[in-house]
Amino acid sequence: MNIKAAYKYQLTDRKRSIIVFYCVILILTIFLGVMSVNFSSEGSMLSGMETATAIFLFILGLCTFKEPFFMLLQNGVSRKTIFKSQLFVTITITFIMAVIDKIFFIVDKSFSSLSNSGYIYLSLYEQIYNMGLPFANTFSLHVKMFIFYFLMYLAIFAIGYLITLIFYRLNKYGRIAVGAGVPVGLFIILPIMDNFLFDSRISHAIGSFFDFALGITSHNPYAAMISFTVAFVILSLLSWLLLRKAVVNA
Amino acid sequence: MKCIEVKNVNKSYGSVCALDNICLRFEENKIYGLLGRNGAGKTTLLNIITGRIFADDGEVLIDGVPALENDESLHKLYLASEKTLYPENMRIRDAFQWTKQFYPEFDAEYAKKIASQFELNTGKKVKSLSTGFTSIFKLIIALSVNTPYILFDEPVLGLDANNRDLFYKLLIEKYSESPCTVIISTHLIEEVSSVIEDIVIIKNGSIIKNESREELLAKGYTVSGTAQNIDAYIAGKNVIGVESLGGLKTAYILGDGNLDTPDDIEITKLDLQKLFIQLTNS
Repeated sequence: MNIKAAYKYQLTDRKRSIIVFYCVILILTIFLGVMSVNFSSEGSMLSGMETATAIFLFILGLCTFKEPFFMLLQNGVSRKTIFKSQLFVTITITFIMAVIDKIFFIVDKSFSSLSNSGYIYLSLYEQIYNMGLPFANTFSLHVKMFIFYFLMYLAIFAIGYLITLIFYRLNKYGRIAVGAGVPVGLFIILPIMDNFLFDSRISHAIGSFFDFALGITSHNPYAAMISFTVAFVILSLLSWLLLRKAVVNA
Repeated sequence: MKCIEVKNVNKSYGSVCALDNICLRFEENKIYGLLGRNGAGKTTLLNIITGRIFADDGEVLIDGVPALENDESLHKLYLASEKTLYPENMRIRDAFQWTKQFYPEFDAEYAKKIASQFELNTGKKVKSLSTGFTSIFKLIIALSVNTPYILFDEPVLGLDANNRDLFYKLLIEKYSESPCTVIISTHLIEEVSSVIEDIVIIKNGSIIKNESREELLAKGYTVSGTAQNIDAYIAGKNVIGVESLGGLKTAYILGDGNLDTPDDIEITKLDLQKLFIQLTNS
């Protein structure tokens, strides 16, 4: 009973932001499509809608913890049930958003192929795996792309959720240390050390790791699907370890 | 057995001991007063019972079953806490609807009825409520939720006299119609003394009294008179406190006062608030 109510509550809680996000995306897509068809003489390209969804899901993950956690504890829901319902909600949301993005993709692709204005729609999947044109409009490719986005969204949401949980569990000084230390370490100290001490070997190793994990050079989206799944499982386990001992802060 | 059982619970915040080996039993269908000074550990105890925070040691059983992370046990409790855990942007009527989802026994019609008695606008958002109305909002849900155990932490915080009176009236009405276990943690002892049946007094994280109100108040008496007479009378007696005003003196004594009281000394029952102050001073 509790898990059903917790699932329903958390899903309803996020519904409004998802609707607002897609309204903005729809308006932007229509606006840019109309602009490029009517005002661009050399043709134009629209891309990266899935990136927008990924960023939105990352932010949603960041903003998702505290309010539902408090509300559900108030209503006699255990942390175990909070976590389970949160997982189900994440899966539901990312699945639905992957479906919506697929619909957007099909509509945009159809529009760009029917229009003779030079308007091109390029998805993130096509960009990563450098598929070239024209797009091979096969059912299996659509399914593959859908699974790719679904798993990518799951992993990205889980990153945001874990970050917010880490910050929730840390004390004031810990938050300052992590909030300032991690960006400074990653984006200032590491590149400087890499450049002067390691002859860029660290950045190459990171690049190679992501290339391998996402199957970019090998044009292997299955590698990315496995990596996203593994990342989602690990991030979720870490989130559970933090959530199971989370308390109502004063 | 149907009860909330707190077994050997300890809780510390750094070097501060908030609860020290607490053992308690809140029995079925009784109204308890959980009394203690600021920082005595009342809120910590209620938060541990409802699983909002964790004890360092010990456990809480609800109807004989460990409550920790147990949905079924937690579902039997409702805590109207001082801290508001409802989303700031949630409207009161939506909070009622969601409470119904989590607690199917929640009586939404009754909640609406008493909301209008308290003159609470259910179209308002939680964040727009004053301190008093925020307390009222939580009280309404607690009075309508129909769980076997209802816990109130400082329930009348910010309420005016009329609303405090209405709350106690509704609580007694509700309890008479459908008895349940009620635990009221409060500072306003005088107001709540007529409502509670059993008293738990907590001091510096330890339970110093846990008995029925009648028993507790029958264990002592108050004597007042001239300082000289009172000083003579209380010599050798178990005095828990003395107050002086001008040449008059009042003493609070544990024991039976009907046996040897001289005529020039006035003897009255112990007053709960006075007793509480004497027990928890120092």
